[in-house]
Amino acid sequence: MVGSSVGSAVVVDDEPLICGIIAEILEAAGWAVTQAQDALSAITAVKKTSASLVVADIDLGIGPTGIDVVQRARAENPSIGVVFITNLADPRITGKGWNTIPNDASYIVKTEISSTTALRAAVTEALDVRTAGARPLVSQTATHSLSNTQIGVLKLVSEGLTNDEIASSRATTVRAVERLLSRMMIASNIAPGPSARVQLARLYWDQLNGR
Amino acid sequence: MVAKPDQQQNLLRPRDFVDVLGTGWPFRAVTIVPYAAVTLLPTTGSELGRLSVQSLPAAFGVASFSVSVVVGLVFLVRLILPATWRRNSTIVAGALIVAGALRGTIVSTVMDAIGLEENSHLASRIFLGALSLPPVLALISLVVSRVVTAREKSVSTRSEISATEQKRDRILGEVDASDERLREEVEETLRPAISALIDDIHSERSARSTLADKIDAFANDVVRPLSHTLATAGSAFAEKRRPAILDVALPTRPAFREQINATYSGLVVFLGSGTVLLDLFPLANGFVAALISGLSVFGIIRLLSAIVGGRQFPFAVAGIIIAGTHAVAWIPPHLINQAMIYPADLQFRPWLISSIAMPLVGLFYQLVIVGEYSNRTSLARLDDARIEMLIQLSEARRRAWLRQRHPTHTLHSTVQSRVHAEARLVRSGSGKISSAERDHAINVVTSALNVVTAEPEESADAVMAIRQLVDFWSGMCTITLDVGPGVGESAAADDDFSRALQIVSLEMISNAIRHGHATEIAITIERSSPEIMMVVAANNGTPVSTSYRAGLGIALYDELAVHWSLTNGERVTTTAALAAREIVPTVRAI
Repeated sequence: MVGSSVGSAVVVDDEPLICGIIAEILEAAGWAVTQAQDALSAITAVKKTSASLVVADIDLGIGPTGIDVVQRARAENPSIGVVFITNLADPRITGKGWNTIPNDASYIVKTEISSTTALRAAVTEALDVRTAGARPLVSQTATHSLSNTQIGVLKLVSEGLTNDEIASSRATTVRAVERLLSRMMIASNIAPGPSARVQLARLYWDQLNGR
Repeated sequence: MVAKPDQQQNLLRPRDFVDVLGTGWPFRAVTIVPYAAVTLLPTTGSELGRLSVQSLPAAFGVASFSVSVVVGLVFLVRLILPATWRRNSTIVAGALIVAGALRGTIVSTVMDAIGLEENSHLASRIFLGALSLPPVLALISLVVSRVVTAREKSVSTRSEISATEQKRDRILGEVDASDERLREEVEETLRPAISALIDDIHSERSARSTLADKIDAFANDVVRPLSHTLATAGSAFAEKRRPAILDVALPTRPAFREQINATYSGLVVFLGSGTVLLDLFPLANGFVAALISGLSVFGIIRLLSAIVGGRQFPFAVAGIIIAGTHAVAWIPPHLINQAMIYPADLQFRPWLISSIAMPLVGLFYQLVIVGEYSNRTSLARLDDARIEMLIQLSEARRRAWLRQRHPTHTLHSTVQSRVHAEARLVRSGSGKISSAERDHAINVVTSALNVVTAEPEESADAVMAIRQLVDFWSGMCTITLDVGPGVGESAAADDDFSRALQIVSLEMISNAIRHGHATEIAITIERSSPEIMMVVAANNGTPVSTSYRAGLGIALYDELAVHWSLTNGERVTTTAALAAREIVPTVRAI
């Protein structure tokens, strides 16, 4: 396989089964794959194999995340292709360093891993400079029209915070929070009314649950 | 937030007697009324000696008038002095000296006018009035202010303790309720779903694609919602702790030198003997005799402080030493005055008054100190209880967060992924499903149940894990790690602390690199108190807006730390105080 490989790839996921499935798909596509179950092993593998592709689970449990792995790998090789895998259709709702995810990274939901085609497409997009970044990370989700700031506020609404508390936590005014919520309702097609806040909270939880 | 105040530094110091004059307390009714009450009897005694006819009711009447005059004058000073001047100790002391002198003048003028005295005692009244008003009012102000402040602090601290206790119990109550809900979910949803799926897996009639769809459905419809339920659930392992107020450390007993004050003993002797001697002798002789008495006592008390000042005695022993020293301290000045000042035919016997009054002076000082110590002890007890309660609250929140995090993460990420992957494996196979495939599928499906019901594994060595982080970021960011003594032992002994230390350190490093683009981070982990381990990360990254901290792990710090802070200075510094009780070594009997 190595002799005919299209390049070296490192797959990092704390679940060995997932790791193995992805590796299998990539190897079938001609990649020489190194599997890692934690961030430190992944970086060691990236350095050792001069990998040109890293496929990383965002959440690796306690310790550095997949985002950290990619950031660290890009310090070694700025042009390394990146595919993130996660459970969430819109990973911004986890609030875990989403802003630091590189724009040219591809992104695939774990349920899509069942489809060989989806992973291959994500890898191709991650490596193709002409289309890199073209794959919309949060398309086809109910929250895709919300900005990162609005996603952050949505999380606070879902946690039951009042406008006062949200304003306090964001060091802004209640009026600014009200305007923000109003724009979020318009963007999410939620009609203003007594149940609007509940619907916003439901929007968040539905996304978290993948409904 | 939970820093313990130095319990000794708040005991009375000589400087406090001066500073309190500029605090406004001398002009409050709550101070002036006790001042009037305290000084009425000594003034009566003093006036009794000056009357030509020794009448107690008459002396009491004069004393009442004298005290009324001084109270009026103090209020007058309060009216006249601008607010900014009333905050200046020197100006207030000067104004009170003038008021005291005016008091003596007014009282003597009235006494002369109504003829109650044979000789005028103007000089002694001015002397006593001018020099006694500032220190006595300062003393009363100090005692009153400490009592009032201590009471207010006591009320607010008790209220805070009660609120924290309620919050802790509410969290633990919610954790228990959530656990109950979780158990219901497991019994009513998860187990039946797993049983049904296992039946389907065993059933040889199921086609591969159908079974794969059912396994996918299990992940989507059962595992994922359950992980959401867990996200708001807690643990039954969080125990209620006993009320913290029963388990506190008291401040150490003050040293001997803190229970005795040479300056004030000398001053009291100077003033007390002065008021008598000025009535007996010519002005200059009386003043010098009083000065010799005051200075001698000052020197003797200082000498005593120098000899045994650093020692700590029980209050009763200290009281006996102080009273005994004061009882004999009058002898040297008396001998000096007898040789130099007193006339040979002196009828008055100052040694008799001194031998009675001096021990009382000493004991009075100690009484003030003991009262203050008692106040401090009470507040220290409350403060320790407040800190203990905050630690308990933090431990409860941390435990609830950690215990729910493990199964939530595992269910949401690992198990769900594993189940979907299993569905893919089943779908991608060919032919009939083998028994090995069935067993594998059953293992994967039942792992969901294990995650919910099993105890979390013990955390890895936290310090080792942080060192691995140093290796991870090596080449991109230089991280130096300074681990204080006992950190490893505490982490090994307390699994919750170990996990929290690991997570918080990781968050600090990640934030510095992700948000601040730091290339140098210095992490220090060390014990700051018997209950607290401090984690400090200083980095050279870009300053962080202190007004907006979303995405910086604020919720995580809130849940895992007793308190935390983020400051932008020469370096961006994040500090987190983690609850970690000191390990007390126990000796086993062999």
